[in-house]
Order: sequence, then C-alpha cells, then structure tokens
Amino acid sequence: MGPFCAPGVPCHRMLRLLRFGTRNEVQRQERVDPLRALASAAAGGDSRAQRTLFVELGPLLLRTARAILGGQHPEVEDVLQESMIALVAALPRFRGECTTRHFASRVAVQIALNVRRRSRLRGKYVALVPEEELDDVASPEASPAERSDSARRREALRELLCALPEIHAEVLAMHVVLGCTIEETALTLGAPPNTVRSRLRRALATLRDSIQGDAIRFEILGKEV
Amino acid sequence: MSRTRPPVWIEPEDLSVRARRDSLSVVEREAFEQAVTASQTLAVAYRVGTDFDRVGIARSGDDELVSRVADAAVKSSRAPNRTAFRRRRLFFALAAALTLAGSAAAWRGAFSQQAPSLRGASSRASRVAANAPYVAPLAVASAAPPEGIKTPLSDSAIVRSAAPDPAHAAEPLPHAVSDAASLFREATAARHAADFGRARGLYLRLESEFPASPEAQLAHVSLGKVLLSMGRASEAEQQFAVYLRAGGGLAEEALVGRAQSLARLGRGDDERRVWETLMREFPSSVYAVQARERLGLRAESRP
Repeated sequence: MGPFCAPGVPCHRMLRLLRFGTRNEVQRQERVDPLRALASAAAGGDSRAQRTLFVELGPLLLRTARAILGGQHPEVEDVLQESMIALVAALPRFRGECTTRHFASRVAVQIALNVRRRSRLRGKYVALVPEEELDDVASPEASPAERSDSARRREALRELLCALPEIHAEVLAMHVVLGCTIEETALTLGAPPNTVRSRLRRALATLRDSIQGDAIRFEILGKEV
Repeated sequence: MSRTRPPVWIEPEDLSVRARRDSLSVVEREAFEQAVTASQTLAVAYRVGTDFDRVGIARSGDDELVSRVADAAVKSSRAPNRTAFRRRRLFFALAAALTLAGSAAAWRGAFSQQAPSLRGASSRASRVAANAPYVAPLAVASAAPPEGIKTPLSDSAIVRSAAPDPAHAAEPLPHAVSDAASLFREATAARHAADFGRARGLYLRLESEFPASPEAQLAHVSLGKVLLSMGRASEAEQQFAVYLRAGGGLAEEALVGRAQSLARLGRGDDERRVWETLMREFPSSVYAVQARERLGLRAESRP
C-alpha cells in the first residue's frame, strides 16, 4: 500500500479518486451493466441469449450504422447483421472494461467505417445513393434549408472519417457521431483518457483544417470557423 | 471566486457531450458557452454532433428489422466455420485431381502397350468422334449439394439458379418469389411513410396473391401493426393470431401485438393469458418487463 492510499482502498482506485473526484467514482460504482449476464450467456453459445442480446442492442447498432453510412445507404442492414455476428465472435474476449452497449457500439463503428471506406472506393466507379432528407423526419420543426444544411454537414464529417487514420476516425466517430465522453471512449477503446483526448483534438484539428482548406466544406461548416 | 469554472473540472469536449444530452447545470452551461465562443473547433464539433443526434431517433419498422436481422445473425453464428469448410473443399478437390491424374497416367501406360491394330481402331474412333456434333454430358452438371445439406439462398439467388431441370422442365420459373419480395418492400416503405391505408392494401394483396411465400407469413405481423396503428384492433388481433398459429421467428412480437390488440378491445382476461404465454415461452424476452407491468396492472384491476 502506497503512502497516499486509504485503508481498504486499492492504490489504483485511490489514484482514480484523486484524478476524477469522488462524485465520478461513486457514479462509476453505481453504474451497472444490465446486459453483462446476457452477454456472458451469449458468449457461451446460448442462442436464445444471443437473440435477446441482438434485439436489445439492435437499435443501437442500427443507429450507429445509419449515422456512419447515412440513413439511405444500401448496406445498412448488412452492417447491422455483420455487427451482430462480429459482436458474438468478440464477446469471449470482452472482460467488462466498459459496458456491453459501449463494446457493441465500438464493434459497429469499426464495421461501418470499413464498409464506408469500401463504398467510397467503389463510388469512384459506381454512382452511390445520396443521403436523402428522410433522415430528418424525426425533426419536423427544422426548415427544409436547415435540414439540407444538416445533411450536408453530416456527409462532410463522414467523408472526413474515411480520410482520417483509423485510430483517429474511431475516436472522432465515438465522440461526435455517438456522443460518448472522453472517459467513455477511453474505457471502450481500452486506451488511457489522455491518449483519447489527444487523438480527439488532433482529429478535430484536422476537421477544422479540412474545412478551411476546402471551399465546399467551408460553405457548409464554415459559419462557426 | 469565478462562477465560470465548475466545481469539478470537466473537459470542454465532455461539456459538449453533456450539452447534447441536456444534462448541464447552470454553471456548467456558462462554462460551455465560454468554451464554444473561445474554440471554433469545439463549436463545429458540437454543431455536427447535434446534427447526428437529430437522426439518431428510431424509425417505425426498426423493431421488425432488428428482429429479422437478429434471427439471421443467430443462424449465421451457428453455421459451421466457412474458412474451414473452404479448406476441406480445397483438400478434397486436390485429392480428386491427383486420383484422376494417377488414373490417366496408368491408362496411358496400358494403352501404349496395346497392339498396333487396336491403336489404329482407336484413332479412327477419335476421328469419328471429332466430326460428330457435340452432345453435353448428362450427369456432369450436377451442381446440387449432397442430400441433407441445405444451402441458404437469397431470393435473387433462387431466381438466378432457375437452371433447366429435366424433371420440372414444364414448371414456370419462380418469379413469384421476387414479386412477393418487391410487394413486401413496397408495403414496408408505405408503412414507414405512415401511409397506412396503402400499406394495408399492399400487405393484403401480398397475403392473397402469394400465400405460400415467406413474405406473406411475415406480412401478418406487419399488417397487424399497421391495423393497430389505424385503430382496427379486432382485425389486428386476427392477423397476429394467424401468424402465431403458423409459428415463426417473430413470435415474440406477434404475442406482444396480440396482447396490445386485446387490451384495446377490452378483453382483459385474454390479454393476461397472452402475456402469460409470452412469459412462459420467452422468459428472457426484452418484452418481459412490459409483460410484467401489464400483468401487474391486470392483477390490480381484478375485483
């Protein structure tokens, strides 16, 4: 036991308490993974548990696939299925560093990014289906012009995700697309928070530079730059 | 003391995420607004993030899609390893090629020792064969898998693989499969667009024109949901009941739909029985919480 450790509190937890504060630590302890037992059963090959897990995580995986590929992309359904299969294959290696939902979202992000890159390559030869404004059906309060701008901004970010190195793209997707905090992203990727923070800032800087260096992107996103 | 710095330091990026989740305190919001004003990059990230949040909401029909894909994924997970299968197939192909090569070499050796008269007869026969019209061998093109092995084929694959089969040469090609699929797609699109009247018509047409197709079977659940949305609970209940009698991968959803229909019809006892069936047959169902709640309500409302 080190000099800073309180009795009964392991050193690494004490360091974490010092780093993140007590409130965060209490929240962490209270946060339970409701899908953990189901994930363990699914990893053991129980097909009923697998199906229940898929149905539970399906909306999240679908949302991730749609966010990265675009709502009207023809491979959304394939990505959903591939994500489910890859999740089951990866579950035996999952040791509970993050919640099952975050783990599943990372799997979906990786698969969707791969498919997006493949589609982009194929798009040089075959015309791709453009993202339609159907994505914004859920926000009828937005005007048509706002919805159009919003769709173009999303598409610009998706293009950037394909251009960035994989590790930066993954962090950017988890943070901007899925709305994960730095700590959640760090736990999901199994990387230190500082590493995630620096990767994120580098990716965001690339985003800013690409906006400033690209006339079309500047028109779409440049209102804030 | 400055009010702009929150009591526990939070990174500006995390403030942005919490702003998107609408979980900022007053002090944190002030800090976030200052950070956004100071950093244009953060402002862009926040703006694009909210754009993605806007499209993250579930659409109608997602439950059905997830359920269908989940079934397919479970089946795929249980399927044997394709790589191992390919390796085994390659091994058998190599073994067959080696055997054939060995047989050919042995036959050549035996042929070279034959009498010259026989060799001449053979060469004449070869010349005759060379002038004869080509007749395709009958037994060579047997590409069917061994008995007992089922190959999963998509609808388009079924249509593509409509090779002439001597036994069923007079039968029409299975165009009905693709038509049923396109009807189903069209109906589902209408349902997603909340055009329930059109969706109902298309699902009914699918059920009547292609009753044996898998799409027609699925259509009972989809149509049940459409009818439930239209407030036609009695018809919806019938659709769910038809699906449950035949059975299928959407049994959980059909049970839930049937229970909801019965609840709207005010048939409390029947509704309770359906929820109990769901709990008994699918104890780990994601609808179990809903079932328990409804069963609790039914128990409370009993005299």
